[in-house]
Amino acid sequence: MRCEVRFMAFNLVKDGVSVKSIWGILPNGMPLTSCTSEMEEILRRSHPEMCYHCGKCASGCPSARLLEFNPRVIVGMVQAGLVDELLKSSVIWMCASCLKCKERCPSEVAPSDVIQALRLMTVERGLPFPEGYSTLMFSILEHGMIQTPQEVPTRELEFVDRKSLGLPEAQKPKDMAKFSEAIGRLMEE
Amino acid sequence: MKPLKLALYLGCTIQSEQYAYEMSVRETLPRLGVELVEMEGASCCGHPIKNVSMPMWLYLSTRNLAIASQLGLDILTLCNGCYMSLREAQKALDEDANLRSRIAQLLEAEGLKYEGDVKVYHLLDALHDLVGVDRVKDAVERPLEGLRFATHYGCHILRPSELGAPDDPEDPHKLEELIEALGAETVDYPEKLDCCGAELAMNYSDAALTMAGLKLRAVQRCDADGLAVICPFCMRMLDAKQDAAKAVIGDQRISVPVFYYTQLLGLAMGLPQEGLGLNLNLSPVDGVLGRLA
Repeated sequence: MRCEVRFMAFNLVKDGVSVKSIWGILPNGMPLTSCTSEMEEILRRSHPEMCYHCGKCASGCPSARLLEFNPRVIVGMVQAGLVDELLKSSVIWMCASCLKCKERCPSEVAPSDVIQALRLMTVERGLPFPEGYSTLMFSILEHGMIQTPQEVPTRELEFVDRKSLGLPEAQKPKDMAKFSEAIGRLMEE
Repeated sequence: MKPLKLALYLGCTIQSEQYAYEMSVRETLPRLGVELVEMEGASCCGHPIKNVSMPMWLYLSTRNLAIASQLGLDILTLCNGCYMSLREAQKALDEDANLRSRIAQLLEAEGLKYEGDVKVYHLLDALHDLVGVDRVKDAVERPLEGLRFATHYGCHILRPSELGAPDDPEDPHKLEELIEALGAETVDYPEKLDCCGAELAMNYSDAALTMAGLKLRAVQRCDADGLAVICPFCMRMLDAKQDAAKAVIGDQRISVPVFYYTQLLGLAMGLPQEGLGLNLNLSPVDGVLGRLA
């Protein structure tokens, strides 16, 4: 799947076909005009149709430098109606969320918001997403935090914890049962 | 001067592993006239969950705002992720009455209520704007003379600036001013606004470590004696994972001492190293500490 998506993305920008002409032919923003879900509404609000492909987002993107990832191409694929392909691809999980693209976009598109909306749509449709997120959610459900207090090493490789360092007890929700009930309900949504 | 009283919101990473940040904040801020009030019952801010569940993120952030609201205090957060998350939640609640009532219902079951009356400060604007550079300067007993520091603000304190960045999002200077107040010099470098890679660490750890490695190499090239950070995720990438980052980019010459700003502040105030958690920095900080001894 990943190769297929990359191939399509490649075609969008190469082979003498300008993205603009594809944009003109394909139904611009079509999958987004009739919103069927809350998450698609979020995608619509990030205004992918406003992109005119200047490439400023990709030029400052740290992930584009290191991975098969390009925020402009992702926005272009959304414009071209290739949302389903993106939801099944690993590319949408390669963004480091540094938000430089959102800050610098001259057309107020916010590629990072487009990517976040695609991530949320992946989950909403029951498609696979990186399992690390489930681990984080279950830790919050159980402890209120993504991580419980750890023993950490000093430079001399002695291990210390909050108590030995004289720090007060760590915070967590007062009534874990009530907290977990609320979180459980939200996780089901 | 009116005494400052703020609710200390630690979030997950600081209270579960980045102890040096918490220790140095607890040592220094009260000495600068900031009373820190514990936020009993606090939870994760939800920031990492925003990629997979909007409602869960919003609930988590709002319940922490509610705890501060019930204390009648503004929040002091030390983490860039928490800072962005809490303020994004405020924006989302402001813009959508339906969301507000949905979250309010859930909060009620936990005995919580958010009145929309809490301001969220990061350590950076709390020190620079509330305490003030002059007051920091006055507290210095042992100036960090002869040392040059590069700064790393981290992404989510400056971006998205639509939330109202506490500093110029493309050319921030408040951390430099706070370092110069300690008697040290600051060094500018082109990669100052680059990401540490932390948010990519879970899904693409090699790419994340490469980002950290490139950042560290840039700091090394600008000939600084050390790097000052103000976010626990950035600290974890640039300090604790420095050896791993070196290995991934294949540059064993990298050797950058990394400090929390509040550790430098404590040193300049003449406080003992132990209480500032300076034995917990895993990057090569001993040279700098030796020069200050």
